[in-house]
Amino acid sequence: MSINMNTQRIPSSLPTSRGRTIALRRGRAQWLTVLLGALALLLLPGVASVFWVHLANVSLIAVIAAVALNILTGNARLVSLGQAAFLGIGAFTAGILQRAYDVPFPVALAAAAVAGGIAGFFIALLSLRLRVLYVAVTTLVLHFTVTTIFSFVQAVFLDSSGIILPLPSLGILILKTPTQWYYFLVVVAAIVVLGALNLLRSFIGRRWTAVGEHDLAAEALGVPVAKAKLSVFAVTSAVVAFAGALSAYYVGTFSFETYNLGLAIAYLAMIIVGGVGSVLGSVLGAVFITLLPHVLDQMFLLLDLKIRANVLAGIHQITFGAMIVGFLLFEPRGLAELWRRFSAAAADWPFRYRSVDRGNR
Amino acid sequence: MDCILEIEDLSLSFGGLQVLRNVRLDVLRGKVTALIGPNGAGKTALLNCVSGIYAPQAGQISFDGDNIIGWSPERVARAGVARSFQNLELFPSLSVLENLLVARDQHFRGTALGAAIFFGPARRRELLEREKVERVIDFFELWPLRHVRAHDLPYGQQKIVGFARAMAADPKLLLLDEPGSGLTRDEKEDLARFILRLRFDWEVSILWIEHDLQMVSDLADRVHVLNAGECIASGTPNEVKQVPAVISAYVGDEAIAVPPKKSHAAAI
Repeated sequence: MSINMNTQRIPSSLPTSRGRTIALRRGRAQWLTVLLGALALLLLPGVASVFWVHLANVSLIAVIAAVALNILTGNARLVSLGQAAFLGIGAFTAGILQRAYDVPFPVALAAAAVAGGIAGFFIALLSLRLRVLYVAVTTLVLHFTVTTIFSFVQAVFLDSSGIILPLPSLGILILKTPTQWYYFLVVVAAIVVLGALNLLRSFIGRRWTAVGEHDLAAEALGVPVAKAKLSVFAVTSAVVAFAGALSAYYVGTFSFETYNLGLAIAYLAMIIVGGVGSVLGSVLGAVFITLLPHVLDQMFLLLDLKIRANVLAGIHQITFGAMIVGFLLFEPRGLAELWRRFSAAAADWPFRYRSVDRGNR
Repeated sequence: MDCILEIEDLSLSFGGLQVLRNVRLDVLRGKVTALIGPNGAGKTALLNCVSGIYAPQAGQISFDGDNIIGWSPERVARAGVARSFQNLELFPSLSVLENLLVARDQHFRGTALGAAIFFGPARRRELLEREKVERVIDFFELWPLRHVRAHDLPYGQQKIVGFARAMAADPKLLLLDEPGSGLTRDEKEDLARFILRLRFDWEVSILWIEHDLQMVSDLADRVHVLNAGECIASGTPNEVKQVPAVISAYVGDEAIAVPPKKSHAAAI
């Protein structure tokens, strides 16, 4: 009875398949949730003001970068403080190519991704034998090296006040208004999210997680550890740099000061608040952290409180810090876990717990 | 005799500490070979040498005709050596199913892009390997645990899953590092049943570290005894039991017995 013999155990006439058990969405309720979510995304520009559509765009770009960071840090356990650097690498690659060769928008985006992937590959080479904290230090070195180079490049070859990018166009489609950008970014973010979910249920995702959690055990099972670390760094950094280029085009201008350590920390906050190692968590966390200061501002506006700008900035910082500490203390699995519990309770409603025959999944 | 693994004159030291000294032992093809010995005898170190985790200073390890000294753990694993670990090195956030699928890693092909698209070849491969893993799940009776995260399993089940994960790689040689330690009596009976069934139904050779001598004498075809880095006896369980060196290594003899200290009694 070798493992390779007779794999056709289940008659195909039976109403079950392995394919269903590896599907991303199980059951009608989950499909319905996705459908409603898609509908809400589609209709948002119709009901929201331009300001909120703009915030949605900023959130969507953050979603793309946070999904990638969460795979690197949450699943493969490589703590990266280089998020701002990779975003900057994307923006500067796209900006320089645009300025020097006037390349089309899609080419600039692709080049940004390639540049980010190469940078990620080299950082992975440097940190191949390092663990958690030491990887963080390596990425911190990358951060300061790259930002120093940015400021130099910007001062010498570009405009020291910031680089202005033209309106991007995709064939006949020109991305000009926030609503046009919004639909473009929804599609891109959806592709990235779907790709991340697929990666994590494939052998590549399992390899990344296995190497992150127990590299020695993974190696003894025949997993190519070095290859896994190099590939996870290269792939996620490419996506982050891609998001950086998108962001530069969206804002229309960029400058090295944007890519500071605070930005890298904000991204770590997104995945902690959202849920470490969860794609849904990256999405929720990115939206949450991006919207947080603006929601606070709107609240004060509604309450008719006149708060001085510097005090307001302080309130933003305090809330931001309190959120991170609060989630670490009370819900380390983040918003994704809250959502999971809520949807499980909603599915069982009006009962308080699941009947035995419904199973655990 | 037909041996799948032959170790000759293996020596390993860490700085001044001699862990293994000219060890010579073999594993018979298709049989269960037990490796016993007191704590610190070098049993796990020997397993680590075979899997390529430690680099021995001298000696030969030939697996299925190849000298595997100097091979990386990954290469050894891909050549057909799988192992379980003493300290439960499961991947905690992956489900039981995913843990087993990691062991099938070498059978997957494709790029990250293909995996991100998933539909088509990646999905077909996934389902094919899933069927292979299902055979292991059937064998180890893990049906209710497929989608449970390894982190959430009780200790005994984690041990069995570690064993199953090694078998999911479909190895020629299986290295088991104290699969029985910390198991309840029922779980040990399951373990004994699994080892026996593997021995008779599955074409796999087993090198098995165990402290439970009763289990060893019931199940093993051949036993090697390690003590202080040296292989002091080899043979069938009954032969080994008669060797004076083994008896003194396990229960000590009068020459090295330490008389109880008076101060101890006073403290109690």
